[in-house]
Amino acid sequence: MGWIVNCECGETVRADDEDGVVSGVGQHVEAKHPDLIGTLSRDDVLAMAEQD
Amino acid sequence: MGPVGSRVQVCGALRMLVDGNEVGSGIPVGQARTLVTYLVLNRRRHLDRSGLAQALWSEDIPASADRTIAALLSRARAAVGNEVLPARGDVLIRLPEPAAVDIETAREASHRADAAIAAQQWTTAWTAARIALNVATRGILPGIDLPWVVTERDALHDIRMRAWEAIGEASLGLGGAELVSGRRAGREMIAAEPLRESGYRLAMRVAVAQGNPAEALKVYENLRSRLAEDLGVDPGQESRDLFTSVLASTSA
Repeated sequence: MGWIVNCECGETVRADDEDGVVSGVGQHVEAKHPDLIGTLSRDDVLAMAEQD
Repeated sequence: MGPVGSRVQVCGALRMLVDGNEVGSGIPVGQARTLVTYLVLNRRRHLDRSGLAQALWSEDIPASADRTIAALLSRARAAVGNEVLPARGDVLIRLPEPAAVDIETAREASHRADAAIAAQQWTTAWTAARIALNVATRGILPGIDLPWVVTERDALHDIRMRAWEAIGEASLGLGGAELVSGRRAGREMIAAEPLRESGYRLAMRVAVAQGNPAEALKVYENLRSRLAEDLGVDPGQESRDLFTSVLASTSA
C-alpha cells in the first residue's frame, strides 16, 4: 500500500509509507510553497494523503 | 492527533488500518464494501438488520435480505476481525481509538477553514482547506447511487467547493506566489458550478491582485453572458459592485 498527496498546484507526491509521504510533502512545500513552510504537521499530511 | 488506533479511508478506495495493519483490502468488493462504508459512516449508531437492508437496497429489499446481510457481515468480519465487527447484538463497527476517518476529518477541516478565513488566519485556512479538498475530491463509492450515498456525495461536493473558496481567500490573504492557487480555485469553482457567482468573483479579485484588471472585467463578462443565456438574469448586486469597482480602478 502506498500513500499519495495530490497538491492543488498540480504536483503529486507518492511514497511507500507514512514517513515517506510526510517527508515528500515537506520537500514539495519548501520548493513550491515557500510562504507556507512549517505550516503542515505530520497529522495534516496524513489527513490529506490517500492510501493507494 | 499523534499515533492513531485506526485509520479509515472511505473516500476513494476503501482502506482500513487497524493497529498499523491494513485489513480493509480483505473486504470483498461490491455490497460488502458498501455495507462496511455505511457502518463506518454510522459508527456511533447501533444499527439493526432492517436499517442495513434499507441502506443496501433502498426500496427494493429482497426476501433474502437477512441471509445476504449475514453473509456480507461474515465476510467483512473475516477481514477486519471480531473485535472491530462483533458478531452478536446490533451491528456496530468498533474502530480502535483514536480513530481517524477521512470523511469526518474532511468535515472538521472544512469548518476549520471557514473559521480561519473569518479570522483572517490565512495559513491555518490554507492547511485545513487542502485537507478537506484532498479528501472530498476522491469521491465516495463510484457507481453506487443509493440515496445515502448520493447524500454523502453531495455533501462532499459542498466541502470541495467550500475548500476551493477558502483556498482562494487564503491565497488573496497570503499574496505572492500563492495567488496562483487562487487563480486555479476560481477556475475550478466556475467549472464545477457555472452559475455560482462566488467563483467568478474570486477569479476577478485574484486577477486584480495579480495586476490584471482587464482579465477581471472579462471574467465578469463571462458571468454576465452565462447568466443571461441560461437564466435571463443579471449578476447579483455583490458581483455588480465588484465589477463597478474594477472598472473604476481601470479608468482612474
